[in-house]
Amino acid sequence: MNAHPFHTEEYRQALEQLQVVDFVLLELNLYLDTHPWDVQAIQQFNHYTHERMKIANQFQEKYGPLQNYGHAYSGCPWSWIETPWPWQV
Amino acid sequence: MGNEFEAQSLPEEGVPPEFRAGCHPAGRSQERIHVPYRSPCDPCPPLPFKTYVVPPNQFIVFQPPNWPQYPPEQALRCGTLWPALHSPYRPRRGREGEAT
Amino acid sequence: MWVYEKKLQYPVRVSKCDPRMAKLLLEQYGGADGELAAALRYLNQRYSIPDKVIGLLTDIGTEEFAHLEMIATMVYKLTKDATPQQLDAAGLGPHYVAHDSALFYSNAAGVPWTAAYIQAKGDPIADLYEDIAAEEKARATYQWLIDMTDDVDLQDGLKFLREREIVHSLRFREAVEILKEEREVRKVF
Repeated sequence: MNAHPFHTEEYRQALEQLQVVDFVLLELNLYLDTHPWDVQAIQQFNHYTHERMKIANQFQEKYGPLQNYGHAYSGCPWSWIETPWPWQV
Repeated sequence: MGNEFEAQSLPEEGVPPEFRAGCHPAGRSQERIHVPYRSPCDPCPPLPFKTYVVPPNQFIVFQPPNWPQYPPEQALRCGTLWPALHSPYRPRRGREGEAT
Repeated sequence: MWVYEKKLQYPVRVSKCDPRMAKLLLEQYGGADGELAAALRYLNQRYSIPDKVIGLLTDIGTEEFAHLEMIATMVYKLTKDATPQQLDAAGLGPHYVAHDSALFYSNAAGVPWTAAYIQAKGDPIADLYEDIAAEEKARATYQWLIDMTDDVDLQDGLKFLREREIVHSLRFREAVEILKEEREVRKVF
C-alpha cells in the first residue's frame, strides 16, 4: 500500500524548499521597493528568480499546478481543483 | 544554487558568529522593564516589574545595503532575511515567579 | 489583478484540537489590527499615495493576504472535527449558532469586522504613520497570542507572523524617509 503522495515527508520537503526560496524573494522584493538602486540586491533577486522557476517547475510536475489562470500547465482531468488546498495540508 | 551569490546568501563567513546557531544574537536584550507605582490599596500582590519589547526597527531609519543575511532555510524559519532585523519573543506563560 | 498561489507562505502546524485558541486567533482574522484590516488598508491607500511607494503598499498588502490565509489555516485546524459541545465549552457557542464551523470576519470577542478599523486620510505622511502604528499593534497582538498558548507548533507560526510585522514597519518607515527627501536622485547607497 503506497502512502498518499501529499502525506509523505518528500512532499513536505518539496513544499518547504519552495517556501524557502519564495521567502528570500519576498524579502528582497520589499527591500528593493525602498532601495531600487541596490545593484547587488537586484542581482541576488534575479538569481533567486531563476532558481525559483526551476524549483516550482519540479514541484508542479509532481504535485500539480501552483497557480491558476494559465500560469501552469494542467494534467487531465483538470488538476487545479484537486485537494489538498493549502489550509488542508 | 551555485554561483557568486551563494557566498553572499549562504554564508557562514558573512554571518556574525552569534547569529549562526539560532535566529537571534546573544547581544543586547530587546526587553525593557518598568515598575508601576504601588499603592497599599492595590488588591493583587505586586509584580516585581513589567516588561515590554523594543524591536530593532526602532533603531533603524533606513536599512543600509549589504547587511549580512541568514542562509535561505534559516531566513524562512526566523521570519526575516536579515539577522539585524530579528526580534526574539519570550512568552510570558511559564515565567513563574517572574514579572510580566 | 491577483493570481492565487496554492501554497502557504510558511508551514502552519498545530499540535492539538484547541477551539479556545481558535477563538482568540480571530483577533488577527477580523480584528481592528488583524490581517484583513491590514491588507485592505494598504491596498486601498495605493490610489492616493505618491507613485514612489505604491509598489511597497501593493507588495505588503499582498503579503497580508498570505498572512490572513495562515491565520485561517490555524483556526481551521484548531476547530476541525470539534464537536458543538467542545466549541461551546471554548466560548464559541454564539459563533456556532450563527456560523456552524464557518470562519467569519470577527474579532476574538465576536464583534464583526468593520471598515471603520482602517483609515485613509489621503495625506501620505499621516497614512504611512497609520500603517506603522498598525504594524506595531499587530506585533503586540501576536505577542499576547503567543502568551495564550503552550502549543510550540502554533507559537512557531505566530512568531513568524510577529517578525513580519517588524519588517513591514521598517519598510513603511523607509517609505516616510523616501517622501521626506528626493532619495531617488541619490544613486549611490
